[in-house]
Amino acid sequence: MQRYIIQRLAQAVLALVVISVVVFALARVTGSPVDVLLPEEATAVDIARVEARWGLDSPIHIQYIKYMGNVLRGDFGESFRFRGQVSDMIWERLPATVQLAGFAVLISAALALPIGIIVAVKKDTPIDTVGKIIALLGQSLPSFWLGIVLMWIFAVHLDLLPTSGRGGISHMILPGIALGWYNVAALMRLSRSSMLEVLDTEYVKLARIKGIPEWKVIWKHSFRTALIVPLTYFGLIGAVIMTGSVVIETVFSWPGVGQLTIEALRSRDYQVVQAMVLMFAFVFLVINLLVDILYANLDPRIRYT
Amino acid sequence: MAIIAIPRGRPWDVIPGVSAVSQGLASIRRYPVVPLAILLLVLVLPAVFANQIELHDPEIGNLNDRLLPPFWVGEHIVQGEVVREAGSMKFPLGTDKLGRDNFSRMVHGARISLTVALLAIALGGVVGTALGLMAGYYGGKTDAFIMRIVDIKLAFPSILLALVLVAAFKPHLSTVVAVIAILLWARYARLVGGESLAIRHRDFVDRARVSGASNIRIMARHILPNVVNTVVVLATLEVGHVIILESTLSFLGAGIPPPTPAWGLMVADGRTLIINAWWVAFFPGLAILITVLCMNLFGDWLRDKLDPKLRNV
Repeated sequence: MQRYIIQRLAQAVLALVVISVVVFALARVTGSPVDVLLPEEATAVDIARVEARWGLDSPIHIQYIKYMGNVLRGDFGESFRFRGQVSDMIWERLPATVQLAGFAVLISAALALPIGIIVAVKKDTPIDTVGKIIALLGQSLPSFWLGIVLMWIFAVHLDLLPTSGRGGISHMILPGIALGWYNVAALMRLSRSSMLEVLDTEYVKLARIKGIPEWKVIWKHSFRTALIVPLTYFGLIGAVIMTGSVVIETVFSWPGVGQLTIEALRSRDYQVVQAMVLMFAFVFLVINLLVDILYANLDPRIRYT
Repeated sequence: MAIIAIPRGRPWDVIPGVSAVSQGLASIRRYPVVPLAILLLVLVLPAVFANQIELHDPEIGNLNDRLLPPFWVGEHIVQGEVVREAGSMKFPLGTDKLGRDNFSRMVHGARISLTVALLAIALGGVVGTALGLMAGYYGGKTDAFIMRIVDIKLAFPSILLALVLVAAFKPHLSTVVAVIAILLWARYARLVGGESLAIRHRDFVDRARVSGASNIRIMARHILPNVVNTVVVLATLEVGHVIILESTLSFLGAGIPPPTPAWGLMVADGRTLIINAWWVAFFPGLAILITVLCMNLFGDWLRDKLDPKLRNV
């Protein structure tokens, strides 16, 4: 087990190094940051001054080592476009993203797990069919479009919820659903199949034979066991929601790090883009690592393959 | 994701105790004619009836025709004054803010989405399959090396990587294809690698080697035919996924550049118009939904037919 964890850890670190090199190189190979920093009519003196100011005059591998050294100390440098530290910009935006992502995970779990169980219990009835349609749509609905359609129906037509921006709970409902939708479908499928398996086990049959009321058999004897499979999937949900937040924050003008990433990409603010990619990749790798370790813990076969 | 128990028998056999809709859904999966037919309806019919419906130039519009509604929507009158004209069959699904015909743009958009999806999958699939064959056939260090790269690739958050790559290079259709192919190849390599590893010690491979076949010939003629089902199924299952990926990139402004009528771009155009002109964003998104849904249903069916062990992919 220890060996497996060390191996996975080394892999994650390697992946992170590769990502940082790729992003760092992309930002510099495809056009000098000087083009972003200075207007076209800048003189050679200006360019030299700016290059010295941002450390762009040293060789690229020196720049990289310097940059990574700073990153390890939590310093992502200054933004090209806005005055200020990149890390400050991220810290300022992060709470909004965490709030929305947390809400989306909560919605997914609160909707998907019970629906999945009910659908499994009511197998082959109209309720089950509705569940199947939800599951099918989950993979096929583009989240940005779902967000816009929800906005159109509930904010513009029915005027029940605000269209965009950050505020109270009512501001979170539409983006939360749009962000969590894919996961609702995936989790529901998992909890359905898991519950069907549990309902077929000997101990559930015994509970029924003993005359325990059906609701107790389902919610007390089977529900908890059936949760194990969907719960291990939660790590992946984190990853899906993270990348989804980039899209959904753009749709709903939600002032989080996802929106910051898109703004930075559009204005070619590589300092911010670099920091965001590294941060996302780091969180993504940590989540994946935790999930893998959890899996290996639950299923010893994985450790030895 | 096969969650629907497929009832035995023909689609018209009524199975007691199972709802009609549920059976209908199941028979759609059993007989992919329905999703394929819908797909053809959406993609082919407009092309066939192009003369009757009158397709407009998808990239050039008349500003006098801006933001006209679909044909069934009447005129919008505020205090006796016509604020918006009624829709007409000239622009069956309305026009966008530059007066371009929504429907013509969607028909052309279909071509773009499918082109990107097919090219990206072909490119990623060929590279991934070749690497997978090598990993599986040579085994040992080659296998370990390729699979480590695959692991690293799979550890990347894909949308973000794609965004950065597209932004770094010139926004163009070929950039989008290349970037999506970069996101796709690893899964082929992993699947094909695993399968060919199991095949390489089979008798027919040894006999081919004894009779003097080269490594490349053995891989291409003896191992590849045994894994091609897997590749085809995975490719089909990924069409929908790639269409969503491409439209998401276009939506975020990091995909196909305007004024090309890509579905994702059209939805992005319509986002800010949703209060006054819902049709601009609604219909292209619906086109994505229908196409992806049909491709997923078809992929599921193909997998069950050709390669049921791929269920968890």
